[in-house]
Amino acid sequence: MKVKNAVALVSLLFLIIKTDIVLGQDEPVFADSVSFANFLKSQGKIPGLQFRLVDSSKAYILDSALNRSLQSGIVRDFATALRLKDSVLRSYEYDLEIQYLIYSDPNTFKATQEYVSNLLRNGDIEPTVAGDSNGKDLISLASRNKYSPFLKGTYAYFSEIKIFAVSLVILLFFIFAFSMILFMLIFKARRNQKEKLLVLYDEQIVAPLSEILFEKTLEELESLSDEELNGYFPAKQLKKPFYVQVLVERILALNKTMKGDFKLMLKALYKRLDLDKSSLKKLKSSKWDTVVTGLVEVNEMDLTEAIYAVKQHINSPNFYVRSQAVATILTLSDSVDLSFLRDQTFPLSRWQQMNYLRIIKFLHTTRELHIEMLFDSRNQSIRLFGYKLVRVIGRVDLLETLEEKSGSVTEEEKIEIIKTFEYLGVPAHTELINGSLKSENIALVSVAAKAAGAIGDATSAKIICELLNKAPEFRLKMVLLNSLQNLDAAVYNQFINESENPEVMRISMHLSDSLLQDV
Amino acid sequence: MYSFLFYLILEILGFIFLVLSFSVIVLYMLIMILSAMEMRDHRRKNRFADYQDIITSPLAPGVSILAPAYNEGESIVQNVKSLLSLHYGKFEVIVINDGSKDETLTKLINAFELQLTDFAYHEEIEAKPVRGIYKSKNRSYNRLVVIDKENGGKADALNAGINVSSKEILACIDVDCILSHESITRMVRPFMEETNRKVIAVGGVIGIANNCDVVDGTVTNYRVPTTLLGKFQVIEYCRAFLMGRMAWTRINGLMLISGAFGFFKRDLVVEVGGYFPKTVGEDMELVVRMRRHMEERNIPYRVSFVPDPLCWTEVPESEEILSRQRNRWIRGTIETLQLHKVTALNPNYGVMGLVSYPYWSVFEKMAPVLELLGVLYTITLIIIGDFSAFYFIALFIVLYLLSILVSSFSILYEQVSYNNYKDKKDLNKLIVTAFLEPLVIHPKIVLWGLKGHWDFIKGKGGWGHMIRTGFKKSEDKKNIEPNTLNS
Repeated sequence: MKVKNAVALVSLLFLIIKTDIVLGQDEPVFADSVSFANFLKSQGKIPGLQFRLVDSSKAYILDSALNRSLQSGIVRDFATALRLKDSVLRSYEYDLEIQYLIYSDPNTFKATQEYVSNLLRNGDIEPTVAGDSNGKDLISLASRNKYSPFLKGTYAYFSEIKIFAVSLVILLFFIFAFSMILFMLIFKARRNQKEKLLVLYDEQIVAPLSEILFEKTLEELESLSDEELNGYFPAKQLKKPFYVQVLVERILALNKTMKGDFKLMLKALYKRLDLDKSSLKKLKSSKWDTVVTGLVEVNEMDLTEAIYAVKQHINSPNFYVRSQAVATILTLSDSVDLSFLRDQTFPLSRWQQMNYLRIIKFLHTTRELHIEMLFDSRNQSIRLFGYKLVRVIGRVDLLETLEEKSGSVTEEEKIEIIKTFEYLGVPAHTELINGSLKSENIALVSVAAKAAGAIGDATSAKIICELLNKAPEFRLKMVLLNSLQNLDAAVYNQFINESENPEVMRISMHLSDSLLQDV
Repeated sequence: MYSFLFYLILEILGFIFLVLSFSVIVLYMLIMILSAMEMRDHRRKNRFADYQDIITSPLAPGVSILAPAYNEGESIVQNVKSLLSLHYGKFEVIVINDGSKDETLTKLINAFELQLTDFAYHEEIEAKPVRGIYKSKNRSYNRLVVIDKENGGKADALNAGINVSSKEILACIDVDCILSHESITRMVRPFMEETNRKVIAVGGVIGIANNCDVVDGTVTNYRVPTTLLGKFQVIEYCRAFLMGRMAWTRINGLMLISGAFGFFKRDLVVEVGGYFPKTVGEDMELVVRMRRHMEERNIPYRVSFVPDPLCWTEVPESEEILSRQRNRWIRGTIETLQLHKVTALNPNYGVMGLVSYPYWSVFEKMAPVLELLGVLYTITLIIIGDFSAFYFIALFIVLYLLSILVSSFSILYEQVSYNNYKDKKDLNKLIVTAFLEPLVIHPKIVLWGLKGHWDFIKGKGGWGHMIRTGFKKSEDKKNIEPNTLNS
């Protein structure tokens, strides 16, 4: 991803520029014509604005010299124009009008008012502060001006809300960005420190652990007083969570690799140090990862007294808690059958199946697990797992039961059952295989054909020939020909010889290529 | 009248830029939050995963590694040996020699004692003609299959590999990538874990191997590259992989899996017709087409992502090569979005149609164009005297700081999650690069992106009419005549 600096920059910039233009356009600057006239009087010169006296009504027959002087007499400020007007009135008794010129073009009083208002709004002119007598009017005028507050004593920075807001945003981003960098540097330093601490704790833990394991007997360990134990693992250190964490991890790691008495010693030490209580406490945590950590510790250290607490988690909605709880129950319980697994409502993932399979594979020689009860589960993924277990554990005695079941199961289950038949290689149970060869489900036919190659019979060969004559898709054709070759070489050769299909010839060559036996 | 129109356009553009810029800020904040949540979950889950079981488990899926090679004679033997030594039970390595003009094939034949076989090659997906398929007579190389075919490009080579593959999962990689021994076990885990939704593809992080020590096919000592462009790409990759893709994974909106390291369900890839060889963005296009396929059938699915460092590659450190790469990336993005425009803002395509597609259209595809427009807009305002230097500088600082914030967040991610760059000097170098990037490198990236747009408009490398028309259905690619496809 890219940082779209320029886009954001430009767009934000324009937003604010544009809003500047829009704001305050409609509000009148002058309350009425009198206030405007007063403003003109006090303001003096205004850029682009001029005045002159004219006899627009032609009511007077002007002296030619006066007329010439009036035509050319343009003044820059309104007060002068007023004085001139009064002077003409007094001297000649002519009441002339003041004409407003904006950039030399004559304009009306109203247009002039609008022009001056715009100048004020845009901040192009600053209202002149007059004496005390005009103060009130000017203050009132200024209070309506959006851009040039001239009230003395106000801090301009805070009165301009946009500048303030932008500065605040900059400050926030500055704080965030530099906090992030600072945090990163602190984090790095702490991490390095933690790594050093890990090495230190490791040194402090490994030596006494080795000493206890290799120089003491189980009885000696159990008879150690608290003081003696503190000599190995100081009570002060045991109050530090990171030290305890390292200690637990080391004991667990050793427990995985040790056997016999050493395992018992580690378990005894684990309990003597009250680490089992900490493991049990973790099972009650509201954080799922802490619960799983507790379950792992219970499992690894064979804390059978925790079975009841572990059972509370076997139907947890959290995948990891549930998986670890089931694995722990399977490992710990001497009396457990698989009924708790059969009754699980959550579907089993392949990952869970893999983990349970490893445990069951290890346990089935020492315990009566009643795998067959999984076939009756309402959960299809559990039933499928049951069929896989039969295959992997090699429970040939359950094939009969499987065949009985196969009549009333889904096609997905049939696939798994057939794979089990094929894997165990018992040349019986061909009814299911031959029946499946006639299915519309290509995946099922393919698996059945493959199995037929290993444990099929004459009927299978006949069905395979029939299927080959129906020109199946390439991959299935290859499986069928391979199975036929394994099942009955004579029939296979006859089929190849009689076939004129180039695809069949290519497959035949493939199947007879020794380098491609496993492809 | 014209003056009014001019100012109206300025106003509208100003408003559009306003919305965009605030969207950028909000999106980056969201991405940071979502990716943090996803990363936290991933790290927690990883603590309890035992990857040893999967190597030998009978329940683990088989994996076909597809590695196209074109003129890779220099390093092909070493690379293939590295692939063959991966720790996994059920896998095959399929190297596709895509009509190399150098000694790639000869070296493979000699090094692995290959022999031409009678492999019954079947074109499930159209590809350029295959000249021969080789296997080794040495049992040690039993997992290796070498396809020799006419040159047709990476996507075409991958299609030929898919036709030969026999396993459940396809791992499509660049042959010169360095894969960790654990790469397969970790990448297949999401396929095995899901229960309610079918995982159709899994993407992985690509690490930068420049200046790092590599021992036995694994990066053992990380160092940041020496050039500024190299260092910039370290930050960029952290941003893209550890932040961006993690955030998209969180909402199941991931549309891109890197072509250098991606895992796919084979049956689904075949069902949608494999890679589309006439786009330069074949990796993204395939993921989008697979997602469309699932959405059109209302099948719950997920595209997953594994943020562990499992794959490394050398990134270009010269401007010339990097500019070509970026040009290709932007053209790939434009072409993919064009091919699948029917999904845009279409609720039938779920998160992809409503969130991912619009995001990619605006913030990835159009980004260089919008940035150019922004610059032109600024110049226009300066010319007409409607420009405020104060706000320009202020906002420039804001966005510069945002850039630093995002970059440092992504570096922090790397430090928190993997801490590969252990030397403090490396961290300092990355921080300095984060400061320089917006000013020095980003303008170049924009320029190269614009060049990509221009090349797309000129029709360079694309497939003219087909891409402009787009796919009406996800499988439309399959209905294209083979001779047209290969033309």
